Amino acid sequence: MHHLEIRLMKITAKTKISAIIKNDPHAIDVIASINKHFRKLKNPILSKLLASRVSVADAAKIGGITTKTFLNTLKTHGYEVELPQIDQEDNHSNQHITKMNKDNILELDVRPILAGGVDPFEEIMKTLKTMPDDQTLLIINTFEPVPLLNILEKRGYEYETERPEPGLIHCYLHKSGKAPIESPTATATPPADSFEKVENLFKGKMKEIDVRDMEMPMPMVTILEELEKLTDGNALFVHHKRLPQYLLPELENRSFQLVHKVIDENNLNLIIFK
Amino acid sequence: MQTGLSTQNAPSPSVVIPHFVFGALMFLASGIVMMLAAPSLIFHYHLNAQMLSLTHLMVLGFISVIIFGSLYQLIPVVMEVKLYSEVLAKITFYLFGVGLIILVISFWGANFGSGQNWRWFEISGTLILVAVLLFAFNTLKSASKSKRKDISNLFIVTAIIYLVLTVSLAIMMIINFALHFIPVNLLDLLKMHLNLGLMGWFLFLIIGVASKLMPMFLIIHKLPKYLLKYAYILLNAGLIMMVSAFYFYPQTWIIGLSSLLLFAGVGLFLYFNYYAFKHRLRKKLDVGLKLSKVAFLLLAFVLTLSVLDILSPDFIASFQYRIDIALIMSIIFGFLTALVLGQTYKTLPFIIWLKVYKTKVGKQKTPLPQELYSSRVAQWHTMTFLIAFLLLIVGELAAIVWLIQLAAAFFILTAALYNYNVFKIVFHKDKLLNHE
Repeated sequence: MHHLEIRLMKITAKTKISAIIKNDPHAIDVIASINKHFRKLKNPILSKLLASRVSVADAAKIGGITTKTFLNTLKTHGYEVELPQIDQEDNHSNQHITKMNKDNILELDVRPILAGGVDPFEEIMKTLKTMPDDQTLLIINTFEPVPLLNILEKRGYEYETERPEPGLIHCYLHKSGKAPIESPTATATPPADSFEKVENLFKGKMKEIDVRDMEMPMPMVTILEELEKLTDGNALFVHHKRLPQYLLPELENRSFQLVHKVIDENNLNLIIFK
Repeated sequence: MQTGLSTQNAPSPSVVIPHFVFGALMFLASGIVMMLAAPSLIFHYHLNAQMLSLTHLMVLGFISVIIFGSLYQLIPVVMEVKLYSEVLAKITFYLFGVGLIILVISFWGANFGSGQNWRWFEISGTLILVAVLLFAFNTLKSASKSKRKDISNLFIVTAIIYLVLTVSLAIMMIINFALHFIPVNLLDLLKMHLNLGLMGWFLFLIIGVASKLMPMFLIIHKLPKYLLKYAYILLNAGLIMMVSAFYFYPQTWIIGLSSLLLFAGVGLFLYFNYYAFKHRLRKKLDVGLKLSKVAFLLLAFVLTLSVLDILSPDFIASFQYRIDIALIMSIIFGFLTALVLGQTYKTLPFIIWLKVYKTKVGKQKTPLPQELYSSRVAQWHTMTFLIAFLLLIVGELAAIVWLIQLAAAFFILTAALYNYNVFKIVFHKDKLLNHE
């Protein structure tokens, strides 16, 4: 009974690994069986570290397989999945940088840090901070650190990855000279002008609710109830009094995205979508 | 407009919950201490050991501890920042708790004479000072990262600074007992400490928090927040003037003038509350809000009592000192207690509810936060609290020990019922587990 219900959750390329595991702890075994890269997930510390940051598409990339292969494996184990329409295997890591100057290199091998069960994120950020702009950082790892690279790209870094041998990743990072497109604290939100974009994208496909006259915690309850009823391809437009601090982590857990626009001191518009 | 979002600002429940549990137990302990101290509570001398033991247990152990816990929860939400350090918050809690218990015991056995051993005062005072400095560092560091600078946040930040001043002054007084380096008489130092604590720490904090939470709880869209800007100026001017006067120039006229400024500030805040109350969209009040309403009515009572105390008309001059005590008691056991009792019901159930049900909300029918405690028990202790308060004030004004003992009995009853609800909330188990 328990198992059947769980598998009704639809897994897409954007679904976070943590959400899959949270809904069904058995999923770890299935994912770990895909190939040896994913066995890391069985290590509880690494699993905690990676699963929360990584979507299915990111995970596939880390494991060096396509999103499709990943989802198909889950499908054969009875999970309901939604395959991407076009095979958007993004090789953009190698695409948009043609030649990177690799003369002035600072090397950082994070494998021992990971082996010690520690998240190397802090160490990498610290190194980047102290590194002069003309230097390139070489991160040596056993997998492509996709979540980190996504964050750094938004902060104005360029990167290039190489696989010198199976199970070894060399990732070169340096300042791109472009301005960061997001504020440094942003981790979970799309870039600046996106409220209007999202609004246009879902035009005619949005349900509108107003939770401003509700008492706590009814705004949160109402929004989450509406989201459960939401059909694919639709979005929820919310009139809220403020940015709902308790709702945000729960939206992330449920793989929803959010954009917001401040109207005035007591009025804020939110669009929530998958 | 899109700014960066951090999606995980709320602190871990393990930081906040112990504050409520400890606070509730200290409230119960205060009732018992009041019962034991009753015979001494009608004596008016400045270093009344039993009175000091009781008041410090209440203001630090019950009221401040619950405020600390609530602020750890509230600052991230209203200021949209992450708490600087959860580990520091936990360390603060233990230092403060241990320091407080030693302090209360030290007061109880003190005689303040020449043979007084100050060792335990120095130890407990240091523990509390360190805890308060850590608390201030943690909260102010968090607040400094906030992009939301408004009048409510300014009140909260100012309150925290006054708390540091209050406790620092207390430590200096302890050292002064041995070294006599402060050229001011003890009574004026005590008045500075008292005013900094009650006005600076509690009142500023309450104005900051109330002006944030009221629109949320009562559902009000537009509040006259500019009134609070004037209140901020008046209260700061009044408090700084009064405290400086006690130190440098303790003359009646300047104390009177600063009192006027303070009255005006409190008056504006009360008017702000009255306005909020009149314009609320939510008409039916739950027990938490009823208790908060009682608190603000008691604040009006406190204001009246302090006008009497300061003007000191002939008909009360003969028992002036009883009004002094009744005034302090009505602030601590009336206004502040009612507010903390009420706000517990607005804060704690939500924290536990979020912890237990957040992943299930929307997917299943979950209980609501107000279903985590017994509303009936809360109604009962609202009644017993009011009876206890009335008995205490009459007992103090008439200097009748058995009335104070009866008041203590009702406070113990109030605290027992309150503890029942606090523990019921904290130990709430997921009601939906059997559905799986």
